[in-house]
This record gives sequence, C-alpha cells and structure tokens, in this order.
Amino acid sequence: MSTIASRDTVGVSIRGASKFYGSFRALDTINLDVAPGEFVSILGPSGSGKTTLLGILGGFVQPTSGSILLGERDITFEPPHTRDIGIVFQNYALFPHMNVAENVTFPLRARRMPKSEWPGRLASALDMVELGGFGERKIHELSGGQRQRVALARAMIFEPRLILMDEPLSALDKQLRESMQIELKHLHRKLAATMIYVTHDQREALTMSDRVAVMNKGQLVQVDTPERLHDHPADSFVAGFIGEATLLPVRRVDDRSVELDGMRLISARPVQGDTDLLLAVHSEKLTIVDAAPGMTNVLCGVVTETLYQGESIRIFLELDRGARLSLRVPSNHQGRSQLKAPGERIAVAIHPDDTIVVPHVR
Amino acid sequence: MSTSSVNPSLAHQRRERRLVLLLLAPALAVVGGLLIVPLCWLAWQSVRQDGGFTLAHYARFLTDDVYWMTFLQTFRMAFIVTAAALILGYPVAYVAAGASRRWSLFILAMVVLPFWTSVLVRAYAWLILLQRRGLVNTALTELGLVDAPLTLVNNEFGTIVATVHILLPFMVLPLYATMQKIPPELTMAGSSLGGTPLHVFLRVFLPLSMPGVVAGMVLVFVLTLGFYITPELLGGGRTYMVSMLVSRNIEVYNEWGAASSISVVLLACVFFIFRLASFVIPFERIMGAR
Repeated sequence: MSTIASRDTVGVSIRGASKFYGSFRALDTINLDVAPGEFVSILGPSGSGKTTLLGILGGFVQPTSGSILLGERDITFEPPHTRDIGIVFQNYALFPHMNVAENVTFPLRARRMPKSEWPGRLASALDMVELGGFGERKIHELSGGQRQRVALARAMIFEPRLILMDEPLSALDKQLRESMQIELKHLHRKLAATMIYVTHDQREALTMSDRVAVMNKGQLVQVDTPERLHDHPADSFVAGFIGEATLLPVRRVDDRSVELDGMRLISARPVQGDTDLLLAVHSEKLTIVDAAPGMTNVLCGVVTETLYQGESIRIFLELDRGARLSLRVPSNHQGRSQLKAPGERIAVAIHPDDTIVVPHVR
Repeated sequence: MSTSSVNPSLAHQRRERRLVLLLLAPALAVVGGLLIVPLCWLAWQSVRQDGGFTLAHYARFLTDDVYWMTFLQTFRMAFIVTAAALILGYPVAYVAAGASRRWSLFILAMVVLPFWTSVLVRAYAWLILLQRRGLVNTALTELGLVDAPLTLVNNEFGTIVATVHILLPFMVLPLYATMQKIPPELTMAGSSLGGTPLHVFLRVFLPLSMPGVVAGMVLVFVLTLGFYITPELLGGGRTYMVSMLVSRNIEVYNEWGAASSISVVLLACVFFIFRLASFVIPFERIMGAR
C-alpha cells in the first residue's frame, strides 16, 4: 500500500473568471465546478484559452475578474507557492541540475518538511510511478516516459489538494501515450485526488475523464460526461471537435425531423432551433443497407473513394445533391463484403438515436 | 583515363579544400603575422640580453619587490572589479532576461550603448565626473551630504569605478545569454511545488545561471588584468598595474627584455585562469556563453 494519498480532497470552483490581454479576451466568464476527487479534462484547440485557465488555477496568471475557490478557500490572489496545487507541466519542467531524488524531494525541502520523513515519502512516490531505485539517475539519462513519471511523482509527493496536468503526454509516442493514459487513470483512482487535465486530444480526454469541459475562443462550450459530449453535442463546434463527424447543413421539418438531400431524417431528440442547423454524422454510426422504397433515415449516394485503414475501411460518399460524408465499416469479412467500388451507388441508414442535429456556431 | 574522370567526387573534394584554404588565407595571415609571430618574438626577447641567453628577466620576479607587488595589486584590482561587475550586472541581466522582448532589448541597448564609444572617452568622462570639483562632488556638497569634496579619483576607487563601467557589458551579456535560456516553466514549477520566490531563485535559477556567472567573471577578470587606460588616467599613480609596468619598462628604461618577460608571465596567468574555468564550463561556452 502506498502512503501517498490526498489528505483532504477538495473540489475547485471557478466563478466567472475572465482574462483580458488589452482588448483580447483570452477567457470569457468561465464557470466550472469540479467535485472532490473528480477527473475533469479541459479540451480545446490551441488558442482556445485552456492554458490561460490553467495559469489562473496555478496562480501564474491573475484573472481580470472572477474568483477561484479551492474547497472553501478563495485562492484568487494567492501566490503559486501557497496554493498547494501539484502541477505537471507540458515539458515536465524537471530541474536539469538535480537528480531524480532531488527533483522529487524538492517540494519537501521547499516546505521544510523534517528530513527524517523524506526517504519514506521519496520511496513511495517513486514506487507509485514505478521508478523505484531510480533516485540517483540524472534527468538527461531518462527517457521521455520516465521523465513524465518523475514529474508526476514530484507533483504528488506533497499530497496536494489538486493536481493540474498540462498536456503531460503530448511529447510521448502513441503507444507510450496510451499506456500512460491508463496508468494515470489508475493513479487517479489510487490517490483519489481532484485532477484537472488540459489537452487538445479529444480521444485522450474521452478516455480518461469523468467529465470533459470543451473550450472554444475563451469560452466553455459544454461540460459533460464523455458519452454525452459525443452523443449530445451542444453545438456544431463540439460536434466537429469530438469524434469523426461530418457536419451537413439541414432544414428543419418539424421538432422531430430534418431534411437532408431531399430525405427526411427522424431524430430521437427534439430539434433545437429553427434555422442554420447542422447534422453531425459520425462515420461509425452509418450502416450500409439495401435501399427499399418507403424507408426512413436512409441516404443514397455514390462512392467516391475507399481508404483501407487497418482496423476499418473509410468510405467517402457523395449524396445525390452534392453533400459529401464518410462512413466506416470494420475491415472484417462482413465489412469487406459490403464494400462497393468507387462510382457505385449505395444506401446508408442512420438510426434516429444517432441523428444529431446541432445549431451552427461560427 | 585520368583519375579525376574515374572519381569525380574526389577531384571535387580536392578543389573544395583548396578553395577553403584560399578563403582562410587572409585570416590565417592576420593571426600568424600579427599574433603568433609577435608572441614568439616576445618570448624570444624575454630570454635574451646583450645577445645571449638569460633568465635574468624572470629572476626579477623573485628578487624585485615591485614586480610581485604589481602583480598582487593587479589581481586584487581584478577581483574587486569582477565582484563589483557581478553584483551590478546580475540584477540587470536578471531583469532583462525576465522582461518582455521590447524591454529586454531596451535594457541590453542601454548596457551596450556605452560600449560603442571609445574607452578613452569614457575614462576621461569619469575623470571629469569624479574630480574634486566634478559633478559628483558638487552634488554631494550642495546636498550637504559631505563637508569637503571626497577624493574620488586619482586613486584605486576612481580606477575601479571606470573599469567596472567599461567592462560591465562583458558581465551582463554572457549572464543574459545564459539566463534567457532557462525555461520559465522551471521557476513556475518551483513555485507551484511550494518554493518561495527566494527558495526558487537560490535552488533553481541561480544554479542554472552559473555558466553565465563563470563566463562573465572570467571575461571581466582577464580583461581587467591587462587594463591600461583607466588605471593610467584615473589611478593617479597610486594604482600600479602590470600593463603600466610593461609600458614603463619600455618608455622609461627601454628594457624590452624585462617588458617581454612581464607580458609572458601575464599571458601565462590568463591561460591558467581559462584552464581553471574550463573545469567548470568548456572554453567555447565562456566565449559564446551558451
């Protein structure tokens, strides 16, 4: 059993936080409540304001207005070193002139913790990230994944109330990144600490988080569970950012259906808004069917291209009135048997549950 | 069949090497003709007297008090100037490295600007500022801070002030070059992990700026060792440095042998200092301050 655990897990409240740089609005009235022990990802493209938000949480950026609460404590004007927040930086920010043990015990020294406690804490922090016995190694002798673990151990050893991570896996290769994602999730469960994870990788955010906060242009667009984010996007930005979706302009018919390419599509959910609507078609949610007259939720078109991508085959389709979309079939026997050559006509069905209509935001 | 047609790349390589040599020739001629040859001549001079070999010039270092006293005073001066330049230069470089691009350019310009005026001009300027009825003394007496004008010049103090001012860029620039390469995330990480600003500075920033500190110190120290104009103009004969010993030996006594031996010893001291410093940081980094 590890001796490291968050002593008193607290939540975080961001209340109406804004940040202006001159007239540029980097953050616009952010409201976000993170429950104690929750894993929340902040997801957005570069320039969406997620790094500024992280800076405000860490104490490196002063919000122009609004406040930050850690549990009951208002930390808006507290300097970084009294906040008790462990941060894992994008490039790890390990101290190059110290070895692994000196890096990891830096928080203990800074907090003037009695030296007798150091060895025990150091050992359990290194064990937790599976780097037992690496204490004497120099930083430049470590691989990217090992540096990542040292940064994690250093951010956890002082039992912070909150752990912030700024794209901690972005410098690792794909395989290592995926195994670290799982490890981070396990660590989160073991520590039961509140974690805020900044990323631009939607897959990573969906894999790891209890909830995902999607940011665009300095605003929080939607805060939801991965599943709801994927299946109930709030608007076209979220729908386009999450998953592999094609956004197609549709016309509202009534509050349960829209029209695309002369076909009526029924949605299981009420259609919000009147004009400027988009249908978000996820590639994996379309199925190839044999067209028959009178079918609903079926689109017909001509195959323009097929791409073999290993585990699946992506088919590009042009509908009769020019709209383009793509679908995926698994590259197994059944999928291959459905495959048509470019130029051939096929019909694809979309289930009312998967018929996602979102308002268009620009 | 000629060789060049068998292996055209070989011929090409040879032609290229010839061209490089040609391009290097002027530089090699300058270094050889104006540095290597005079240095050899210097070394030759230092062991010659009345047409024969002698170590008499070097023996004087052991027997003549003036010699080693002068070296002692020169090193003392170099230590003081280096320390003062570090104390003055470090905060300047620190602020410049942490400032926005525009401000750091401005600060560096302020540091380098005096660098473009002649050393002689700056030395005379200090003479005027620090003299008995100079600007500094007038201000001090007018403000009632002192009763009588202070002796600020024609002594070691005046020499130190002017030398520090002239050599300050050699301290600030390597310091700045090193500091601005310290990633800001490191100090951010330090403070997020609980380090007070002082703790983060002492444990993270200062150690990482050490290559710049060593480079700046070595440059200023070595340059002070051979400084001539400021001690000559502002020293008032009280600060007697090695460079002046050399010049007296030639101007007053016409003793080329003695002057040469002093130069050789000073040169050896400089080599020794660079060798010592290279244990801390490699020589290329002192000059490039990377």
